Amino acid sequence: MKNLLVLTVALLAIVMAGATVMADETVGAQTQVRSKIQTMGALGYGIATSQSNPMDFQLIKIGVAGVRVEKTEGEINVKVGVLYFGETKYKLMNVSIGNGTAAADIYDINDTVQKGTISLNAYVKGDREVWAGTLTLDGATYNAYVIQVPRVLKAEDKADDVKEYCKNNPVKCKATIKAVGSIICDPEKEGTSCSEKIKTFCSQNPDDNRCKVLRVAYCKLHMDDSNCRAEVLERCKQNSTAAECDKLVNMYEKYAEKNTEAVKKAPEWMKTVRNRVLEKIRSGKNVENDENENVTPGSGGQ
Amino acid sequence: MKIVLALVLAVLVTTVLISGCTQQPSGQSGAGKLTQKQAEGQAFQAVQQEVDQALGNITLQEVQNELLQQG
Repeated sequence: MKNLLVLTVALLAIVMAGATVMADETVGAQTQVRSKIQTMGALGYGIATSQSNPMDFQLIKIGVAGVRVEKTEGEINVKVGVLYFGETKYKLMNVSIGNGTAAADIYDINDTVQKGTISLNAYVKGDREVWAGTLTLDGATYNAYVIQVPRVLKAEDKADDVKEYCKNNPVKCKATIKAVGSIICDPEKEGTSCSEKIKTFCSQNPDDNRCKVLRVAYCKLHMDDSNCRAEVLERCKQNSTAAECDKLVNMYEKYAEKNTEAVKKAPEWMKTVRNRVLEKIRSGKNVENDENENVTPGSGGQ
Repeated sequence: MKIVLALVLAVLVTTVLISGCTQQPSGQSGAGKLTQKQAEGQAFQAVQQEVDQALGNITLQEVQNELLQQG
């Protein structure tokens, strides 16, 4: 009888030890590395044509982004990219993403040997954003043209952006919400808990006008993100007097001032906004400094 | 008899515990600080996935048509 008791206790000890190990492994699984694209600099497809031989061309696909990588023990923000030149895949390192600009060094897929560089500027052609620039690869130089493709964002992703905006800009967040409806909560008084509530609300109600204007307000501060530019661009097609249009068009100025022909072919709304922007610049006003202005309610974004 | 039984069981418990301790570091995630290299690898995978999802099946013909359309 005593032996049976000892055996039972021992078996229980083994089961408990096993459970401890399994629990440890579960905790291990929770420390998995997670990544989230914060800024999509460029995402698109196009063509690269050799500067020395126009008949030498290749289909290209590109994505460059700022990514937040998280682990329980820390968080690192990195900018990386991928380039498909025909069927060959390359890594893009030392990436820089600006307002309507993207540049990177091209490395082989094992990122051991640098193969070239790429530098692109964004502009609007027809109703879409396109990228144009140069690419050097294995000693050859190409002109590169890329058509920007929208990234499909989930309501949760947009709500996460809105949360960040309200957390960092509680006064503006409150004013933006009040401009189009009743406040969801008071970000000034409630702080982080309110930005969490707004996130939950906007995840569940992505078509609510308050969530749409908050998204635009976020985008006004994140014009380096191609999706934000695309959303603002859609709004500007409908209402080119909106303050955010000046900011958007000013971003393309780097390309426009060197490519007067492209400006002539730009959509009418863009020409109107550009004239306004140039006038502002001539009179010494800061085009970028419009953050005190609330988002124009209008259609409420995309 | 009891001592032998207790010893056998103690060995069993220790074996289970040691097996757990040696398995954990070889897990996919592992513990420890996030390194720059690890972060770059993860970020690259995320961007590649985005590119493949958004542009996976684009053909040269489609690109040419689109570029011609854009002027």
